[in-house]
Amino acid sequence: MGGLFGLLSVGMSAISAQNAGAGTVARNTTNVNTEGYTRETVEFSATIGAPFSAGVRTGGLMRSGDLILAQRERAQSGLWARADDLTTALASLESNLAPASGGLVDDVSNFFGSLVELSSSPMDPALRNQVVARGQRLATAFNTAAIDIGNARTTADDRIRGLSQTATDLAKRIADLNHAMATETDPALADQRELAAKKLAELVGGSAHFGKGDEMRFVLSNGAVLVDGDHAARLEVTPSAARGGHLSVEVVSGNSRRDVTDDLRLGRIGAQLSFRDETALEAEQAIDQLAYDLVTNVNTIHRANVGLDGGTGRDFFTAPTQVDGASRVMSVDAALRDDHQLLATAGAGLGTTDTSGLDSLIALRDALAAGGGARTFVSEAIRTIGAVGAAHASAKSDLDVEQARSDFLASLRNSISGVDPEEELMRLAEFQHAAQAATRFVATINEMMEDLIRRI
Amino acid sequence: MSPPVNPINPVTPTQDVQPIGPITAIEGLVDLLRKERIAIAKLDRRELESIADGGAPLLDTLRSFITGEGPNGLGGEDRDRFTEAVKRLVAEAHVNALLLHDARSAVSSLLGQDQSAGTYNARGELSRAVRSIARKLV
Repeated sequence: MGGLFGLLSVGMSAISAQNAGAGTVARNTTNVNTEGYTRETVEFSATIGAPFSAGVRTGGLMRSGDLILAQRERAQSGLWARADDLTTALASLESNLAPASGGLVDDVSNFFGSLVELSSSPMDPALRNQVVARGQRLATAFNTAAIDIGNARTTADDRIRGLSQTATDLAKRIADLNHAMATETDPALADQRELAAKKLAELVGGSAHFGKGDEMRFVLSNGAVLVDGDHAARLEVTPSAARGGHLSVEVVSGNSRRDVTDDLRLGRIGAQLSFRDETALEAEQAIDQLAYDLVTNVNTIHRANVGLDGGTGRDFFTAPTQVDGASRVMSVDAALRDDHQLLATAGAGLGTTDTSGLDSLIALRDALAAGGGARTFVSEAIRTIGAVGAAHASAKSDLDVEQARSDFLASLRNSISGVDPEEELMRLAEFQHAAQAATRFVATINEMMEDLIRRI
Repeated sequence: MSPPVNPINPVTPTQDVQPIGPITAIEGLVDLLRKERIAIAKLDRRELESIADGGAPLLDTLRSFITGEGPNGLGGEDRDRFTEAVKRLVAEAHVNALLLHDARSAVSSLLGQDQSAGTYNARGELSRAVRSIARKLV
């Protein structure tokens, strides 16, 4: 279902790509392989008619097209890069949390399975030891999941740190080029600036605007200014106590500092922040809560039960002091690990061979004691791990579509760089007609589906 | 009326043509929409036209199904499969509708064609409409 949600989310996140602005990126036949090269002159004398009903001269049209296209490409690069980084980070986390075999879900299930097996012969030392061993294995699975998520969040920090430095360097580069272009007329400078702006957008999203004297101003989506004329701000990262020691990102300009950690959601940095502070954080909290609920419930029953040695009031798992971090410290009680006789399976006052205490532990398997009382422990483990898988599937779908968007913008750029621009423009006009027909085709499908859905 | 031909696996007129079922028709449309996404990416007019032409018989099959027995005539397992196929088709169609909108908008901008002030609203309406359908399914 994650894929479906992913497909349905497409477009909403990309709506900013609709905003057309200014800039110039194109290439011509002799410089087709030069990254960032912009065709220096595009002048065509013919005035074309329908479907270019405005009768715009081709030269003006192409220049205007270049400007609009460059802005779209910058916006698109931020969206594509976000989807790309998010997909990679989520794929890695998913493969750790949900390996091909085993994993947390299996270990929760196997722990309760060992209790059921013990019920067939409650005094059997081998089966009692198996319960203790499965309990410890479950605890280790929680520890491992917590460490994996923690490492993934730390890795995101490392990447944010490196990318922020690159973004700072790019902002400085744009400012330097703005400065140089104030006095020099070399068109290569504009190409270099455009390329730097595109790379910067790939890291942080944002948009470029042009002011007096063709100066580029680069602004983040929350309005924070990264480049204004020949002045560049810096992206600085600092460990934040409020974020559990993870990095916060600030735009620093002179004495002014603006925290943009919660606003940056586009580009590669935005992807890492989304991953770290949304999906991975939610998974961490959910696993901590699951560990806490499981330990607390098992311990409550185990404490009330009686062991083979006649003792009572003992925990099965080491009791966590709080939800936060519960999965990381989970462990079977040290004394129980050394002596299976301490495993309390008898009800209080019913003799050490009684098994009603074991039945109470087994009943926890089907109790709605997790997920705020809505799910069993196994189903909550599935939901938690599944949420990461769904996020990954969604990111992959987004990447697929963002790639298609990037591709048609590249196709469009190739068109306006063609050998025969008039022919290319006619080809694009024909595409518009075909796209209109395709839109009707898709609309017909949607109408039919609406009809069908009403009847499903 | 002659049975519709599956454009994904076309057969020559001399072969016996088996009518295709609604699930196969939907799966065929999903496949076409995926190809359409590639055509949009390439701004490939001919491929877009070919896909729309190829989808027509599949739409005819679905139309006949809707006006005939409809999904209530499907058995348990087929019904589940059908529902899943419909969900997938809605999602794919949604994506393509937005991509087509964006591609047309980008080309329009480049050609200097007027874009109505309602472009964003139209896109938003498009999303809302399909999401509304999808919400009933998910």
